Amino acid sequence: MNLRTTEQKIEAWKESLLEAGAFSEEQLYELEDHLRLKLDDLLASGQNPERAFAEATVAIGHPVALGQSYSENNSRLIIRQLVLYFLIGFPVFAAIGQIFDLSINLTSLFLLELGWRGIALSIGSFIPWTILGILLLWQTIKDPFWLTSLPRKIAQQKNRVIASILVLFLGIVALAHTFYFEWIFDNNELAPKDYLLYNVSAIPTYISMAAIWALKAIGIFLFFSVSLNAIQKNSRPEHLWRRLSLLSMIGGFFFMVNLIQYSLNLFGFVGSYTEMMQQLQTHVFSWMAILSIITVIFFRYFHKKGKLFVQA
Amino acid sequence: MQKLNKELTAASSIPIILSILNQGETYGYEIIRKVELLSEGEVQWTDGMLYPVLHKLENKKMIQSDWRIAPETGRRRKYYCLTDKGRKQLQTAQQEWNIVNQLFAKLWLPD
Repeated sequence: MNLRTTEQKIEAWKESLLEAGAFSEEQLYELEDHLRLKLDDLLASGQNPERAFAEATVAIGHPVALGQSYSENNSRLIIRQLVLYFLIGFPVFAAIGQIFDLSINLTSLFLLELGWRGIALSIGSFIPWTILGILLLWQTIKDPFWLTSLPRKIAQQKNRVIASILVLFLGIVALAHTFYFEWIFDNNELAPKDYLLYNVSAIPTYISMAAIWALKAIGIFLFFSVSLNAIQKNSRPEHLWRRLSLLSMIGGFFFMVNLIQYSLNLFGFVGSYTEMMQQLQTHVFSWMAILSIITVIFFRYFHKKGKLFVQA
Repeated sequence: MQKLNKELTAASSIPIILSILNQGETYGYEIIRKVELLSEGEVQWTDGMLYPVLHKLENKKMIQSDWRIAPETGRRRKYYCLTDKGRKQLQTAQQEWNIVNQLFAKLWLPD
């Protein structure tokens, strides 16, 4: 028997299980051990290796049925995964947002210097977000499971330290950038030594800001929960559908964050951005989100009609 | 001979697992093999579906597990054994299945 081929097949089989539902490492190992024992028995009975592998996997059960069954039992594991997504995703997206805010400002300033005042802000906000969109699109097409497999990849020992440092770094960048610009915008009359006193007097402002961030956090958590659930339930290998789900999730994420912030601004709460910038961003994100949602509905409709995808 | 239907297979799975574990600690693959052997192939489980049931029983503290190295393969393997709670549950299940068994025995007595 070709050992390398069997090992590859076992790895592929494990991947198909992970795509179909929530399994802990131990549960996956237990199933793998079962598969190997079954294989050994079938081979010992004189079964052809190809047939033995097929028969062993059929005896264990269809990955989707197993995935559903395990997921029902593993609600705690799913919640843990979602919390992990949230913990990793929040500072990462916050940092990306801050870095892109900075690039928006720089691009706009550059365009203003060129004298293109009329289109400076809209183009300025369009270029960096388009670059981000293209990067996310490219990554999703290259590997449709990059987002769903992120916690598993990070859980690997060698990646934990790098991931922790990266998340910490991005979190610090995001916070430092936010507070620095808050200080620049709000305290340009104040000397740094007075900043502490200002902070004390601005406690109500910070409470409302904390409320905004808490709302964002809850919204992001809910959105990720719903999206992941939808992805898990549609986890048959229709890759294009899964890619679109992820794109919708990304679009929806930006849409939701900005919609909440915009709504809070409308009701007079304190936001981190100027009103004009906020409106520009909201429009860009709204269109991104609306387009991705329409696309997903369109594909899902035709998928239900059985006119689009061939199941692998 | 006719194989056991899905509903009866599902209903009897927990008492069967508890009964096998009552004979001593064992692991998933061996449980499946025992069921096939003892039922002469009439009770057939989807192998992978055994584990969620085992995990559920473990969460309910009816069984407990232990990871050890399997001597024949050198790989880690999860062994399950019955707890006192599981033993009590098995006694209850035995009484219930005996009631059903006795009822059918009376109903199906030849006239």
